[in-house]
Amino acid sequence: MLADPDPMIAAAAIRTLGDIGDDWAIDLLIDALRRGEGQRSRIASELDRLAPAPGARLLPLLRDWNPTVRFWGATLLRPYPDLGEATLVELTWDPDANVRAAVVETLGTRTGKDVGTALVARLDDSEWFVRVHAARAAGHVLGAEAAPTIARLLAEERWWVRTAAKDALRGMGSDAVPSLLSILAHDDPFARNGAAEVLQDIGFVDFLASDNPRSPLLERIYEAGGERYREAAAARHVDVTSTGEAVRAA
Amino acid sequence: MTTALTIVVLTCFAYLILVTLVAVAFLVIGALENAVRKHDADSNDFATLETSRFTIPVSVIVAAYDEEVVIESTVHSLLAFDYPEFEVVVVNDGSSDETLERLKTAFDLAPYEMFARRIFTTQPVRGIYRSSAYPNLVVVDKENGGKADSWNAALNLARYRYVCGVDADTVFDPKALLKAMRVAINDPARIVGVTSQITTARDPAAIIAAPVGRRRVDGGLLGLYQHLDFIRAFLNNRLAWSRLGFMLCSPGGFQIWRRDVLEEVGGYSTQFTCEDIELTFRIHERYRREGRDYEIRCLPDSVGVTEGPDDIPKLVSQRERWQRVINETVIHYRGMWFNRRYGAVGMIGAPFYLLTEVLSPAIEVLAIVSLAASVALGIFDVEVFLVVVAAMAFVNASLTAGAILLDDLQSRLYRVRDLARLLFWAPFDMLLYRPIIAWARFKGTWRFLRGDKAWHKFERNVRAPA
Repeated sequence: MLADPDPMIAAAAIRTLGDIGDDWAIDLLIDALRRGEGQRSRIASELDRLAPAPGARLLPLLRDWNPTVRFWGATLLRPYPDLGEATLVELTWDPDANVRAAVVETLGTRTGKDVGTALVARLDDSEWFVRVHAARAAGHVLGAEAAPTIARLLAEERWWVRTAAKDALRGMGSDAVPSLLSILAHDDPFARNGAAEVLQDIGFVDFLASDNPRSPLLERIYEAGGERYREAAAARHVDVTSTGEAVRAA
Repeated sequence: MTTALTIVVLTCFAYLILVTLVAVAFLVIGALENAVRKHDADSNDFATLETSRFTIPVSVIVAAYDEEVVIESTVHSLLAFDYPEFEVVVVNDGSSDETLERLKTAFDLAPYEMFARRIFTTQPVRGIYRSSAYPNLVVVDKENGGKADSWNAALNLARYRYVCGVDADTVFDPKALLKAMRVAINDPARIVGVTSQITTARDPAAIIAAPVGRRRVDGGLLGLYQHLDFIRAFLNNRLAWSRLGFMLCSPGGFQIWRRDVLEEVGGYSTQFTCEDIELTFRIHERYRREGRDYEIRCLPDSVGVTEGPDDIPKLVSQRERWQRVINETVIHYRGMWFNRRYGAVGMIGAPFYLLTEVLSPAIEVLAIVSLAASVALGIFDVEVFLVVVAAMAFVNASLTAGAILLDDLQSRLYRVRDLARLLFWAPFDMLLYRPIIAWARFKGTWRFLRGDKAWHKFERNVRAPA
């Protein structure tokens, strides 16, 4: 049924096996994923829905000859922080970039020194989309420790990588502030305004604006952000002040 | 004189027969495609798709110019999509009314600067706002530059791989994105664009809230005929075009594109009266010329309801604009006409548009004048004339009934009494509605010939108080 040419029957078979969820049903789904019977993304969705039941049965997928299967193996291991770490770290050097990206994304939900080291190495990957995943993952795994390295990516040539770096730094909150401040004097205007944007998003600019509006540091940030950035900050500050006054009056 | 008149009348008659035959063929192909898509939708596991982390994220972009009446309900309906990951980018295109203020109040917006890529040059951005209530909502306030310019500004900020352009006057089914994206998720390498059926109502927000099987056809007789017009456009035409590989108009009300394709072709063009049909033509032209494997697909699923004009002047204003942009586009891409290099697009799609859309206003006028003259001169009997008109009304009503049937088979959305009302009024379309559309098309053609590219926005319908 999984290999039925009618997509309705194949889809129903996949869904039914997912609903059954027994060991033999999981084995059938994994086997179908490996052999490409039925739509792989749909099978993967069912296996993902069944987590944590498939567990260690997914590990052989990481060693498959087919990069698509390795990709799905790495992707599906995301909800299992204790499984396959050594293999996943090894696969950060997989010749297939899609596999590397999937591995990096999965490792991003884990912790540990080996994982962190592997992720930092991928920040220099030859493929930009691997660097995108690596920036987010390294930020999550290493936190502030990775902030200086990730902040460097604010000057990356690829916009998507810069965006991922901003997301990662944003996720670190105030821990990222020292690294971001060091970027304010960067030669690259993208890096400067990227740092200013993250400082705005984590609330550092609003804090400075209400705490010490004449601070030279705030002025440096405004310079990095530009005129519209300054105006937006001023408008937010006015809003906060007027709301505060209204609350006090009430 | 008499011979010449006879030839003209017979030519118009031959044109009519040709167009009717093509319409019947498209209805048959559309019915086949409808069945295939229904089968495909039934085999999709929407429940899993809705929660799966493998579903491709989408940036929904909407341009708003003087939309204070509808903007809140539209944005609320967009934010209510049942879809795992999406963002909504609303662009206030220099509105002169309270659109931005309504957004600020309704969604608790605060100004934030975002440094986006400037892939497309647009009118200056005045400010960017984020919502504290909805983290996936971004509002861009920019100087007026038109819908295409606004969508380009939204594209500069959009984060995801697929972009869904919607109109600010359209309210959506919460499953709209899921229904349309299912085909892209299945084959993202090939599917570059998707659209799906939208219908029309006087007050979309009130209509879409009705459960399946209880929906009304809104807006009196004018609304009913617009509704018929929309379902015919999607189910009799676009489904067949999609099946035949020349889906030539992804409507602005709901169009999903792979973002890299939009970047590659240069985004939405500001050089045309309206952007949707031109962009679809441009993508076909590029991909066919380069011999690339791609597909732009239209689905029969009803995903949203757009506001239809509630009086004749507004309807004429809207349709004359549509006529202008069709003329602009079809003539701009004249290199594709009957050009084998462009496959079905060049050999069927573009000529079909030329024949049934660009030339038809002129042929309609010619037919009316020559028929009237023929009857007056006694070349044709009044009886013959009436039989021809009755035959046309019958064929027209049959095509419309086909569209109503396909729609009901697919969605089961409407109340039985509304379906009966649609079927009852369909044959009178030629007398009550077509003349208005013919006038609008004639006016649009005239304005096109004069080089008019203005939008001529009409006022929004007045809603009943909430």
